[in-house]
Amino acid sequence: MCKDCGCSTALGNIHGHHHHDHAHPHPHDHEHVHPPVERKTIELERKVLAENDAHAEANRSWLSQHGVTAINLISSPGTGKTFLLERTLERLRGRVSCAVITGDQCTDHDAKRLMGKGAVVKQIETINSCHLDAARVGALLPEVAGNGVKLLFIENIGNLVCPAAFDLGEHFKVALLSTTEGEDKPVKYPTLFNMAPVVVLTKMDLVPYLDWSLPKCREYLNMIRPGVFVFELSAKTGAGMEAWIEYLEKLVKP
Amino acid sequence: MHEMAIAMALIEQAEKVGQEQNARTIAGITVVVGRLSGTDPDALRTVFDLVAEETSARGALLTIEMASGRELYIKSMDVDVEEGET
Repeated sequence: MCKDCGCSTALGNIHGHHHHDHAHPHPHDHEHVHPPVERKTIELERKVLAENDAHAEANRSWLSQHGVTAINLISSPGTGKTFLLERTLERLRGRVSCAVITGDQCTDHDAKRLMGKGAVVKQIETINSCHLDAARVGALLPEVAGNGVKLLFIENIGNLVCPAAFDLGEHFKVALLSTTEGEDKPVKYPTLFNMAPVVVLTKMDLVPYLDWSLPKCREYLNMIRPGVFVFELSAKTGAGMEAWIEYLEKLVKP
Repeated sequence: MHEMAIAMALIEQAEKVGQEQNARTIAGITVVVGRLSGTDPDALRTVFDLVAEETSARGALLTIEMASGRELYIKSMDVDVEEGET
C-alpha cells in the first residue's frame, strides 16, 4: 500500500504517480523500445549501518593490535564528562599513558581544557552532526593512540540518544548520569543505558541539596541493565574518584 | 535527530544491493527497526524521501516493521530489473 494514498504498489512505480480517470494517449506510430521491466522481491538481512560497523570493526582490531583499551563516554550535555576527564587525566598522569578524542558540535573548548595533563588530545567538531561515527574516529587513531597509549577515552557529543546508535569500535560504552538530571533518565533513555555495562553517577556532592534518591536511581539502572557496574563520585570534591581510578588502572593491566 | 545519517546509510546499502541485482530502480525497501535501536521510525520516514531523491531509490516505498530489540536491518527490497537480467 502506498503510504500517501493507499493505492496498491503492484501498480508500478508509485511515487510521482497521480490519480485521475482519463487514459494516457500515446499518439505516435514510430517504433520504440520500452524494455520490459520485471519487479522482483529480494529477501535479505542487511544491516543499515553496515558501513559504520565495518569501520568500527577495523578500529577495534587496530586498537587491539596496538594494545589500547578504548571507552566511549556518553551522556547529556552538562553531565560533567570533560570535568571528570580533567580530574582523571591528572590522577593517571605518570601511571597510565592516556589519550582523548573529544567530540562537540562546535569549538575546541574541551580539547583546551584537557591539554597539558600528559595525554594526547584531539578535538572533533561535528558541525551539524549529533554523534561521532566510526570513520571519523578511525582517521584519528594512528595520530592519537599510536605511541604507546594504553587507555583511550572517546568523549562523545553530549546527547543521550544519537551517539548510542553508532559503534565507534570502542571496547565498551560508559554512560554518565549526573544527580541534577533526576533518577529516571535510565528508563526514559533505555537505549544507551541498556548498552553501557558501566555507569558513572556524577555530581554526588550535590545530593544534599536535591530531591534525588540513590536507591531509586540504582533501581532504574538495574531495570534497564541488570547487574550494571555503577560508580558514585564527585570529580569536584574527589569523593569516589579513587575507586574509578583503580578500576581504570585494572582495565589496562597487561 | 540522527535519522538523516541512518537514512543515508540505508539508501547506500540499498543501492549496493540494487547494483548487485542489476536493478534499474528500487521500488520498495522494508526495514526492521528495533525499539532499542535508537532510531525513530517517524523521523526516518520524514527524511527518507528527501535522501532518496537523487538516487535509484527515488520514490521508493519505505515499509517499517517494528521489533523489540536493537534490530536495524533491511529485510527485503522490491527492485525493477529489465527482463532477461534476472
